[in-house]
Amino acid sequence: MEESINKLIEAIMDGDDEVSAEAAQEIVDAKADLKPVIDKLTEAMRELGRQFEAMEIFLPEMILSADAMVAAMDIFGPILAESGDIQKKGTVVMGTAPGDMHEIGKNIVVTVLTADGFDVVDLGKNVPAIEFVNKAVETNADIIGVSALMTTTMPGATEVINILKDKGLYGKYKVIVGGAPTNPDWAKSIGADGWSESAAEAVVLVNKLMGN
Amino acid sequence: MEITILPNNIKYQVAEGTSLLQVLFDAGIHIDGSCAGAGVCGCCKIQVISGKTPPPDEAETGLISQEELAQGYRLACRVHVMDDMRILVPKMKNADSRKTKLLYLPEDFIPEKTPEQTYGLAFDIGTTTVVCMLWDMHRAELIDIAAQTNPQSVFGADVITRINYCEEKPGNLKIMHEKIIDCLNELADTLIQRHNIQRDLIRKATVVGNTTMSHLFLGLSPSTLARIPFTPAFTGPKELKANEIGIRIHPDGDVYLLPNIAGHVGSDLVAGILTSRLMEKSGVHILIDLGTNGEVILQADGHTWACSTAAGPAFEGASIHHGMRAAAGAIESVKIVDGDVLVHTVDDAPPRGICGSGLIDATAALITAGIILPSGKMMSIPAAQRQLPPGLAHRLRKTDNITEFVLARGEDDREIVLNHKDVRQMQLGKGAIYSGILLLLQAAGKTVADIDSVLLAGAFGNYINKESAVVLGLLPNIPLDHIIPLGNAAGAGASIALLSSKERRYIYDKLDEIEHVELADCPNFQEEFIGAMSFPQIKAE
Repeated sequence: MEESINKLIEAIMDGDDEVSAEAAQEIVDAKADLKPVIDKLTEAMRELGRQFEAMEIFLPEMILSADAMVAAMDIFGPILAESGDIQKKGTVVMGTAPGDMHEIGKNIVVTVLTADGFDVVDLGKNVPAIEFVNKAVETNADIIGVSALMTTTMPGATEVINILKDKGLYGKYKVIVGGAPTNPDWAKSIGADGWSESAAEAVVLVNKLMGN
Repeated sequence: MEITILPNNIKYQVAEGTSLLQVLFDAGIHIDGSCAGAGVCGCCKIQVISGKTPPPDEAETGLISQEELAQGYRLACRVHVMDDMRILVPKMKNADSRKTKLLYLPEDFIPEKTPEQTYGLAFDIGTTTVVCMLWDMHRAELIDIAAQTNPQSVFGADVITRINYCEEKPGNLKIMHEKIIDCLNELADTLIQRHNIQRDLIRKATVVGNTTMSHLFLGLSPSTLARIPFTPAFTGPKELKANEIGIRIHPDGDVYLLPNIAGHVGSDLVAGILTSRLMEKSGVHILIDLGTNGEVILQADGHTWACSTAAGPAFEGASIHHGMRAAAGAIESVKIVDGDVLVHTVDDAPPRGICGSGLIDATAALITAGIILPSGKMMSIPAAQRQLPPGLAHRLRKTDNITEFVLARGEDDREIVLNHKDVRQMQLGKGAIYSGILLLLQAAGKTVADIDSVLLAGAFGNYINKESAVVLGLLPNIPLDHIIPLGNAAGAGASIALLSSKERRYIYDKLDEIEHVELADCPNFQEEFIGAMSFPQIKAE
């Protein structure tokens, strides 16, 4: 058992989704208690975040590791749902701001949030502001995430917030923003509920906003 | 309040609260403002000689050493005038003079000589540098070239920050337009005076530039270029009268702005096609302009594809810890020989920073030495001490928890380093360009092995070490003699269009044949981009 867990964590750190899926299956087949395994996964995600921050790993490794984590969660997911051990943590609607086509950063956040047990609705790139709101209503989401990678597309996040205000939904859905040219002051100034510098921090932020 | 700007001793009256960067801009003093006053690039460093100033803010204490702060060094963008001041602006010369060399016209080019004595001007509006070529149209001879820093640079190094500035408030677009027209006139005046030319005999001018520069030249809003789908307000060529656009040559003279291909593939590339004869070539050929927007044009079996890649400013030295333009003291080449690092600087001045070609060299040298791994990770310090010769091992260290490699030591023992963040920036830049090359090859059903030649437009292409660019994986791994720098291909193309109406019409007609590929819309863009971020493993010979 211990061996399979170690194999899983190692596969995630190495970014090998085949091996991580294999290890996850071994753990499920052994009918082990998943709770400590999930804790280990969370720990691994934090470690990846630390390494990313320290420049030890970069986008390619981060994406591979996140994919490997999702491969494991795909296998654990149904079991977790069935056992009722761990409930879904919440629903996040994510996309890049209108006019913006840079989606790698957003994709990583989607992956790590999924891996952390959130239901994430990925709206893709160049998403009209109204889409964020409509989808949040439709899926009864908890959080809306807007990513902007150009100074010229940052106002798209403001637009999302304004639409929420117009519809009387401001506060019902928490709004988080991010992207290379953004900063916490700007996030605050437009009335967003949160901002994070990296994908790993986004996981911490979303958990905090959800009161987890 | 009066601001005296040294070393030129220019006096300027300003209102209290104006930022020094704004003062320098208004006074027409060229200084880099890469981050457009956000206080993150540290490019606009000046020295306050006298006058009261507010205390340095966080941005300044983060970017300027204590020692320099004590000497009065500040960031022009952060200091708001509260007193009469005397300030010293560091000299930026040489950075522009490089662009005046390297003008090569194709061998088969036949100019149309005018029967009587007239002159013509070819302008190449770069985001960073503006170049003007004065031609004797009667003899079809180049008389002289002048260059200066694009005065719009104060409001950002790249086109997106400039577009942003245009959108900030009404009137800004007009300022940007006037700045560039003034700049073109200043360059023209310089050449007119230097060669004692009669202004009215200049009957023709051509203008090329990236699509944003072309919009600003015409005074058209570039807003659509900063968001999907990046549709330009115009593509076709513009033919204007000199007095309409405000270029001071013969008032009735013709000014031709060459057409652009797409929102981020401009007339500078169109000019590059003229210079390189790209669309007349058989086989598989690639024209690349390495810059903030790395444009790539692929010619394969009679078809032409074009794309632009968001390479970012790394190759121009911006967003790099000790990055700078190719001015005196910039490290422009780096070699590791026998366990020691040899650097060469522009004008052999003491090292002050590192420019694009130096960055490519430094990164390649560290990859070859095994200090940078293919993933972009830098060797750990214990591993370095075990595996590297002592001359290299002691150069690798950590500062603020970031690994860095000391390349050289400048005046006052200031060390110039390449750090891990810089390496990551290089990965983003080269990944963008290389994935653009791969995706165009895929569109054409070709592979790297099919490439007959890679043609480098832009001055930068002439200064980089081809071998280093291949080691880095910025350029495809093909025989080095198949990688050919074209010199200032945009300036040469503007000259060709100036000297020949036949060539001008040729390129107008050819434009429809070029297929523009929007990389972000390619389904495998992310995969290719991420893959292209790694450094290739090329065996050292």
